Amino acid sequence: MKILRLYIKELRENYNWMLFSLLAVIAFDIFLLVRIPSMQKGSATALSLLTFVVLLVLMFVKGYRIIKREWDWNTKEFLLSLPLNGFEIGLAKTLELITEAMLYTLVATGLFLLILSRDLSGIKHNFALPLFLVIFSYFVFTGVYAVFIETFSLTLRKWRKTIGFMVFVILTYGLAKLTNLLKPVMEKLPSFKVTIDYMGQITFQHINMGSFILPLIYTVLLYICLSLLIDKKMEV
Amino acid sequence: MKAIVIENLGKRFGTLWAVRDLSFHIDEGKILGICGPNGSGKSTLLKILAGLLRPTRGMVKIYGENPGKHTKRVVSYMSEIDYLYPWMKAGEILDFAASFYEDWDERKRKDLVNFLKIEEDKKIRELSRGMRGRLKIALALSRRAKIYLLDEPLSGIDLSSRAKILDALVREYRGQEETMIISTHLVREAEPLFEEVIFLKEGEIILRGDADELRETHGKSITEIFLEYFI
Repeated sequence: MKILRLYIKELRENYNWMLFSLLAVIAFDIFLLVRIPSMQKGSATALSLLTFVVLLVLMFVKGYRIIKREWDWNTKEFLLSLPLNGFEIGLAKTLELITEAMLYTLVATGLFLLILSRDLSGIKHNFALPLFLVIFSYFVFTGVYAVFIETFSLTLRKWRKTIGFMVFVILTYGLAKLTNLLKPVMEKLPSFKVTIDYMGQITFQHINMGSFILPLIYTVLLYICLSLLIDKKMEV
Repeated sequence: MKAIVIENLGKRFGTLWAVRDLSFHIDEGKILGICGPNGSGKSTLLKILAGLLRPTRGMVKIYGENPGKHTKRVVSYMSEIDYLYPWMKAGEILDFAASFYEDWDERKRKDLVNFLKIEEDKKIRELSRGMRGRLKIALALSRRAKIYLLDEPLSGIDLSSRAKILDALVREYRGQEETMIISTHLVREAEPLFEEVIFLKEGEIILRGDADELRETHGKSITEIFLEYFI
């Protein structure tokens, strides 16, 4: 119940950001779609990728802001004086990021499918669900990753930005290496069988479940580390 | 019964010790005034008791427990700074806080809101400094907490608000049921409240005692003793 109250507070606090960032991205995509009436083959992929990257950056900024703002407003003293532990505070913030990631994913997937149908009218496919899951997992991971990095730097008294950036670089490198190491394991997981039918030409592809399960595993690990940081290291 | 026990407490920020080697205890039901100039370690001490800072060394026990989630249930902390969400309305922050504390008393909240003339439908960012000070007091005193930690409740606040806040403190104090620690450098205004007094200087205790006994021994008011030590 207490976590729910804190989660609602987070939602209310971030409502404007959520709304405006989504509207901005939708407007940006519509603008490009109108400006390019007859899209060339391949432009759908480029535009969808651009939308995904923009939303990914927004998710990172959001994750950074969700904790930084408590410092900028001095509300950290209020937050940390509540009878909650790090796991509860971390969970409320993570749930808010998951909600936002869900909305971003709906918009990104919707825009991607819209752009694709415009580019290749008459295309039939069954990749909407795996696409949704992959995008969602990357958005959640990015948001929680940013919260973790910012929380870590806020636990330091000196050289916050420099050390925070170094941790970001090292962790990104480490996770990339770990992902490579885990690749053989992930390949053993079941795959989504994807069929694409374009003008009678049918192609089959496989989307491995590891592509969205691994970012979610990293997210859970980061959440645990984040909560421990809040519990054991964070001071006002 | 001892509400708070502190032994050899020290807190260091970098190379600077904000408080060092503090040892004392506070009995349940007392009002303790912690007095000292800016930078003497008053806020650091209160933040450690509130569980917002961790001691570098030493021990702190609140009803036998280390400061943390459990002690936050019985400790009501009021910060010196503006620490409330600026986008919330005054009434919303009170509702928000109410949902976290089992000892929240809705009757006390209504009384305090009326007494302190708090405009509940105004956003916190729109309130004057004096009104924000009153709101912080209402937030801290609307609970039936065992311990109240009030960090500079009168600092930077206009005279009429100061008087209201002091009246509210007197009105809401429930004697033996609760312990109150008030840190301040405005000793003159808060002196009538104190039962015990600690003077802090550069993180160390330079004077401690029962307020009446100190007045008797020195033949002066606490304010005059304070001026003697710090000017």
